[in-house]
Amino acid sequence: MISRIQQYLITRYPLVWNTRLVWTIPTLLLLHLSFFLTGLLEPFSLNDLTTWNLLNVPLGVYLFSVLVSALFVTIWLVFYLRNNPFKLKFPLPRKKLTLELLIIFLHFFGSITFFKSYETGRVLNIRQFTQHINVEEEMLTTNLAFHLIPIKGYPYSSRNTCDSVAHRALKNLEDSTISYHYNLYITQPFVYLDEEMREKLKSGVWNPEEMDAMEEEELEGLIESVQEQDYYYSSNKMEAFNPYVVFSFLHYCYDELGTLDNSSFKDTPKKEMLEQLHLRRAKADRVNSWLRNGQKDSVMSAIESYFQLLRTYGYEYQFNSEVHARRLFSDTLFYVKEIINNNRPGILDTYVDFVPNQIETVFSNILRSRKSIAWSIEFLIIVLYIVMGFTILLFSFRITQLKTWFISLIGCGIVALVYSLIVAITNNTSALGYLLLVLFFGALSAFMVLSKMNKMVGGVVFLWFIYGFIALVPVAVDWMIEASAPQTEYSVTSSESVTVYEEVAEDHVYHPYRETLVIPAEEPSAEHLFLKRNQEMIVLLNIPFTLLFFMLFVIPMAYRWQSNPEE
Amino acid sequence: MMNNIEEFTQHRLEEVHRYFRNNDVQLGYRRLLDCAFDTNDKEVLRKTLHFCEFFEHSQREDRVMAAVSDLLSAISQCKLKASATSSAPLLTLNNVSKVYDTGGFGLRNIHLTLRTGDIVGLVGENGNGKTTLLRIIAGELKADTGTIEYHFKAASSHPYDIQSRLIYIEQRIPRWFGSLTDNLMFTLSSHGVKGEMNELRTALMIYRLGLHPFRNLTWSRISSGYKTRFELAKTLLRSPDILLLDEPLANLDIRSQQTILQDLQFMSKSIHRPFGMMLSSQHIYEVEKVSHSIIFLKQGTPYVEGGTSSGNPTPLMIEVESPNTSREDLEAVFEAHPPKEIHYNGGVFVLVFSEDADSQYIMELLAQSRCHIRYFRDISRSSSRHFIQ
Repeated sequence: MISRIQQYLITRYPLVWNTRLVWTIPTLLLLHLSFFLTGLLEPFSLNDLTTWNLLNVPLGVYLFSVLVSALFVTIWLVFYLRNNPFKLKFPLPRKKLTLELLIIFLHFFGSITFFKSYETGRVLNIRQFTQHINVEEEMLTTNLAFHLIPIKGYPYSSRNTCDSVAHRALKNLEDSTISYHYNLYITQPFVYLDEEMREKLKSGVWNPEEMDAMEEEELEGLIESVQEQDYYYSSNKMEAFNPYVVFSFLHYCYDELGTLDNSSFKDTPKKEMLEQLHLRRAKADRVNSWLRNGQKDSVMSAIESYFQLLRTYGYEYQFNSEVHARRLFSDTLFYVKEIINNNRPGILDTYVDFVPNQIETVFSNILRSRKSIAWSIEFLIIVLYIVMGFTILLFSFRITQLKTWFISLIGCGIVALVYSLIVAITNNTSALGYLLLVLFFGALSAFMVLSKMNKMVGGVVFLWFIYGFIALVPVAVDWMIEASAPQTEYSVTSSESVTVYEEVAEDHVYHPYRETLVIPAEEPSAEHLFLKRNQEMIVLLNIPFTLLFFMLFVIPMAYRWQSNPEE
Repeated sequence: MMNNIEEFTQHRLEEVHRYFRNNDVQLGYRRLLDCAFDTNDKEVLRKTLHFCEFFEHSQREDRVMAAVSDLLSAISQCKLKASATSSAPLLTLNNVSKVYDTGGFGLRNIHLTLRTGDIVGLVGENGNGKTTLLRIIAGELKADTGTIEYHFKAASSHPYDIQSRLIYIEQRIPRWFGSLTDNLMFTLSSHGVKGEMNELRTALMIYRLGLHPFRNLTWSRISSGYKTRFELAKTLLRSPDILLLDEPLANLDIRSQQTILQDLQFMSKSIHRPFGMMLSSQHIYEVEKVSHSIIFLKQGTPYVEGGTSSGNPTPLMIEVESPNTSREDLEAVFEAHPPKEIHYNGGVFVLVFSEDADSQYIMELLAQSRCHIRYFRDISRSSSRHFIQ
């Protein structure tokens, strides 16, 4: 049967036969299916959901996937490299050689992503396994309970308040030890509230009972101002975060779970941010009403539901809800008097073996499994560039003589080394040098091949151009972004104020790990912003562009080079 | 080639029939396959393949003859179409020279015209430029001066396309992978012959070059001689316009040398796909037998051009091998008509006489002397004479 298929292919579709496509495609599909099923059928328990990054592919699977890829490619190459009609000068049409290039690309693409099939199976497995879990409800339970349980070392902190009055009041208390900044949590001033400050508050500067909500317009305005900040700068501000203890349960206003992701706030629609802030405030109001109205049962029920959840996922705790509720209601201002240990204390009887963001791992795993299984653009770019790299390496081997190919590889390493040394010595990190070098190789190789100059040297330079070309567009875009970026820099320290685009009035930024913070003095150009925003897409589109370049330039040149005399 | 293809075909078919009738079965068989190839007709090729399978196993002469007659009749029914004009020039070299930077060796002033169906022999001692010349023609080396013109009908002017119509088989045959049949089929399908036609032509070529017992073997399992045959099979399936062979006889036994050269001579005159051929070899006698012209290269210079039958009077040169005969014995034999020169290389004497001497008379003298003659050859018009110091 196999020999009949082979004979059929060899006498009708020599390219398919020679590339072993008929055998490799089913093999690849079978391997992907095996990896997928392994992920899909892997047994899980609820306890496993507490594993951080449960959906990520384990190292063992990665290594096995790499091993299978290497094995597959090696076996394929053993057969594929047997015949090379191009080097044998068979009358091979250009389109056949182009097809061969695409087939090589397909093989590498199919053979380096086995682990992704496993991951897809695993995600679907977890999605299926956790489909009965109502994450929103469990997150609400956690958020409500956590409002009432101040856990040590965790952001049961003063920043987590919905109170704008507090914000304004605390701003007045600012001194050299206090820093604050606007961040996503607009209404959460970044303040250390020590006893002295408490006293100041008690003495009339601020009364927690006067807690009121920030006006809608004010809130919107702040969100807008934050979003319009330059993103180089906002991300650094986030790192300056440090939690401190809140002083009353009443003004705690923070959802531990399901809050905005502060790493992507710039991409979050304003409407969504507002909705989340409203929801957060509504939950805080709900708990505050229990406290103000003395609804001890509701408080205990919320806490009990939370611990029920902990039991489900296998977390340990030792906590007396009734004692805690009693303590909570013992103060009319609901000041926080006791911080709960977040691990086994040994001598204390009350502890919770985890902090809320640990149960967030569970929810995060579940929610991630419910997201689309489509590849991210970043992953796609990485995979495609690796595949393209291998494809170019193999294809260059197919179109040139072994000696030329080998010398070009060694030479490429030497050129890269020399180039790096020059960059290091001159301290010039501009990509312009690279761009000019690759273009020079391109022009030189075209000249040498077309004028039939030294075949081997021409071939080596030609291959250097091919190797360098794949990075030409990404490097060019990077260079253009760098060249079009505003050049002025400010050195920002903790005591310095900087105006940024006149949108955010004043800010104090100090980054402990960076002495200077680059802040553009002017708005970047439209070209700069266009390139910056579309950089990923341009880098991605460079792959089909590279394939097109091979079709239109490399392959015709390869034909020409192959037929050139040696000396 | 005769102008009338039908007449020519009829002549060849009669020739085949005659070979079989005279019991020159192997020769007839090979020529029969050539005739079948020329039809390029699927039905005829199918019948021929059946015949080959039958012929390989049949011991009965009468049944073979009947089958041959059937096949010849089928072939004669086909209307043949000549794909190339006989004697059309394929290649012209004008004053081609090449000098190597190192060693100072140079190939100088080569003029050559190769025509369809022609065989040009290239002889000369080692290191005198035979391979260089072949590689220049094949486009592997660049000539310093002179022009090379290819007159191929089908190919485009792109150098790669020209080179794909011009096949150069190196002295050292490159390794191939997989089975012999797979390689031939792949070669043929890569040249656009697909499906059943591919299978038929491959199978017949395997039979034609005596590769049938080895058809499923790989490189490492067949001898050097059969590797050469395989390479020839592959080349012939590619239907080249020009075939350049560098020492093709090196790995072949004496019988195969003659057979292969004869086959190439036949095939170069194929009606369907004739080609021109250049071959270099040290087997001067064998090459001279099939070549239309010979180029003898000495220190890169074409020492002599022209075939065995070309014109000007030359001294009579006789090669003689006679065990237990000394130079003095030979001088005594030719006392009445002494040779101008006697050369002896330890095994063979070369006797050089004047232009008007007669080889028949020399042979008679030797016969009368009762010397035991093991080998006698008139090399007066052979390029062998240039090898004599």
